[in-house]
Amino acid sequence: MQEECVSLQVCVSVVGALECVVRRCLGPDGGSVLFTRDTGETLITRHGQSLLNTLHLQHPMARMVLDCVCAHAKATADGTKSFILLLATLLRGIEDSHMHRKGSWSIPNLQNLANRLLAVSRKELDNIVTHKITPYASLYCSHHSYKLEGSALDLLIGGYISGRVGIGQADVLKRVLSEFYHKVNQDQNAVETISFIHSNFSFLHTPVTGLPIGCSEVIEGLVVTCDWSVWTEPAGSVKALILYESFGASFAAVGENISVCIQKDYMHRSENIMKQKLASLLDLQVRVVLSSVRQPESVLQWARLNHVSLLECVDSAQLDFLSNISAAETLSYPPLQHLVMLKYCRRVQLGGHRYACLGTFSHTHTLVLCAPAPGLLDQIVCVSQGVFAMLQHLSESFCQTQSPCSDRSQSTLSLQDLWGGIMRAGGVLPVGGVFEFLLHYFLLNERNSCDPECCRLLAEALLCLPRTLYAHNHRRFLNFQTHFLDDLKEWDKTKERESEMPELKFGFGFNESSASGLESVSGKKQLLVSVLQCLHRLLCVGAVLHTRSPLCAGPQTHSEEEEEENPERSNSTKITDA
Amino acid sequence: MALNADDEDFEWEPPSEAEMKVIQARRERQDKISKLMGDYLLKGYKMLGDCCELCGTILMQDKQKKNYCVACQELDSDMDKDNPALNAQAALSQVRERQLATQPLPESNEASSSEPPLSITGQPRPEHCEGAASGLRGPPPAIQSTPISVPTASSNFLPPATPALQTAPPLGSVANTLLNHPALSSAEEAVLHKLRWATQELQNSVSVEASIQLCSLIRGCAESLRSLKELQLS
Repeated sequence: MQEECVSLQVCVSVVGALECVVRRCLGPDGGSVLFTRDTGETLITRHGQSLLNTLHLQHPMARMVLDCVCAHAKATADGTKSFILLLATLLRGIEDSHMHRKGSWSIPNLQNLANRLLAVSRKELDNIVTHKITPYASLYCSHHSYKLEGSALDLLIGGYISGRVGIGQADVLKRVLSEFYHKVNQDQNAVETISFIHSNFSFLHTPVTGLPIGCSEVIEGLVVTCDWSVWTEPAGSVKALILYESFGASFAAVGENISVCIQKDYMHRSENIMKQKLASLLDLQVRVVLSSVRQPESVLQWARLNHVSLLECVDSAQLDFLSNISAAETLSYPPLQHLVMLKYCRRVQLGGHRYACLGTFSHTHTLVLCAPAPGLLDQIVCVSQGVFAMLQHLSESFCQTQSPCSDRSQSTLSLQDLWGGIMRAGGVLPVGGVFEFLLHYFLLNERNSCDPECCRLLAEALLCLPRTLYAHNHRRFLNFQTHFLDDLKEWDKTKERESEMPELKFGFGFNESSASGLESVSGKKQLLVSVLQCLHRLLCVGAVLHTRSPLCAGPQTHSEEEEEENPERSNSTKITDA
Repeated sequence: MALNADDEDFEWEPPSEAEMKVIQARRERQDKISKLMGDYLLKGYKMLGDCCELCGTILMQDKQKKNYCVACQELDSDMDKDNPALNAQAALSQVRERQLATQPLPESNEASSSEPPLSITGQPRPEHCEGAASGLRGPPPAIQSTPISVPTASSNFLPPATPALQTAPPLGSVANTLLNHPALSSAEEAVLHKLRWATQELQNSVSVEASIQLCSLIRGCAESLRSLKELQLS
């Protein structure tokens, strides 16, 4: 009978250890972890995913949890540390209820519980979020709109950033990211803009080390992180040629006498061919050549003589991006060459380097992120990327909820001011644990719930997040808890009458430090669903089988999982050496 | 799987006081283990997929590929905490319980011996309890606990030996002052025997930690011999 409890105990210890690592970095008051390598490299991070990836975890359950965390982070870019905290608290809650029930948790019971929790996440959670939390959020935002300075977008960005970088850096980043978004958007479709920024972020930003963070800015045009090989300032808009191969043919030198004669003729002929190609370029009035490979010296000489600017060794993915946004024209002959119209070409000095800047007609802007050290720069780039991933997730889920209503006029209107629309529809809440408190209250007071035990488990576990956020000031947490829950009770009562809304004292009175931020309700809901799915996987592990030879390198974790998710109860042995 | 709630769900009774204490203690121990494991993870230790054979905690591996069990090597064992033979506090609480249960008798100064508290039977006087407590806070826990916690193969040798040694003193301890000497001499003999064994083990030991523990055992034996000598002289 003992081995049936082992898997829950092992889960608790594994996730408990991860929780102890991650909990110290949660929230605006959290710290960072410094990792050092024997080679002297250091990494300072408080990003949940980097933290977990840097640890040496060989335990299969730990690797499984790590996989789940990475999958969740890919979708929402938010809540990796909260994931681990929630998971650990839920597991401990399950273990506690096991101790209280004076019986052992057998594997079928655990699996039953896991299924019930998943069912709660699908039905009751949806219910509560749609019918209780969303109306509350929209009412709250409409009542406090006078206090919400700045647009909803700024508050969303502020809410995301403030928990991830220091205060001084947060102000700068907030300003720069907001500016970047508005410049790229240019009053167009916000949904498309966010999607565009999110999928092309790697081309739209340039990291620069050695400068203070305050030097981060938004530059018009596309910055390419190489310098011009041949540079003449072209006036006005120019035609540019994008090519992916070298003009001169490449040939291997052969050291035989007879081959020399053939080579001589070959070289002469290939030179002629190259001259013809270059002459045709001049006919097309190409003034700029962008090449993804290095060109031979003769091409450089030709460029200098004919006042053509040449940029070499550009990333081919970036060249593809440029062709896409500039509606490039593909030449029929020779192949692999595109012609684009560029608004202007410039040389910019960023940090200690000179880079090329290409202006396009499609209002591209580049976000230049500066930081004194490479580690800090990585963090800032990561946070900026995360902001847009989070916004993308929010806009996607908002559009999904809007589409069933199929009101064309309303949908086009909301697209003009997507973020205001989201706020009015109740898609955002203030940061700082409000969502967790709301969900806790509604889960405990859900009258028509078909599974009160699971709701109670989940409700108790949810409070671990605000408790950790305010770990430095426990009294504040208790204050918040009492006032907020009292307010909620009042609101619940008056909601029936729908006359007036009681003055909600929490939130701004509580968080006096700065203007509060907002966070997305759908992101938080997704976090909960992901945690419950991971919990289901963990609880359904019947046995851990150790093999002597390693499983295949790539899908290693997947094949381990197939062995682990073995629901046989009686005949599964504990640990075998294959 | 069907989503029916188990019948057991509705038969929940609140746990009793003792059970709550056990649950609380176990929870605290688990939290300590998790915290230690988290600290070691941050120091660069690897979390292995194996569990320790003795206590079931997950093993960590340091950079020199040496396996390390956090619970066995840093925390006291869960069970030993309540064993009066190994823990002074547990012994003291047992003594007090017995004192409260029965009337104090003017006999038995065996409490002042440095033997394990099992030798103290139910009738000590209050002041002798204090003496017992002060004596117990010294070497005896060191003598008894270190052999148990050395996780080498030789540990199998110890548990049968120690109860055997412990049974001898209680028989002697019921006697009064006049029969001091046989009890004290048997105590001395036992400690010397332990000392000899420990020196032998120390010579054969290859692990650093085992050697450290054996040295502390030897030190404990020496101190108890000294206290025994003082008793004999007084």
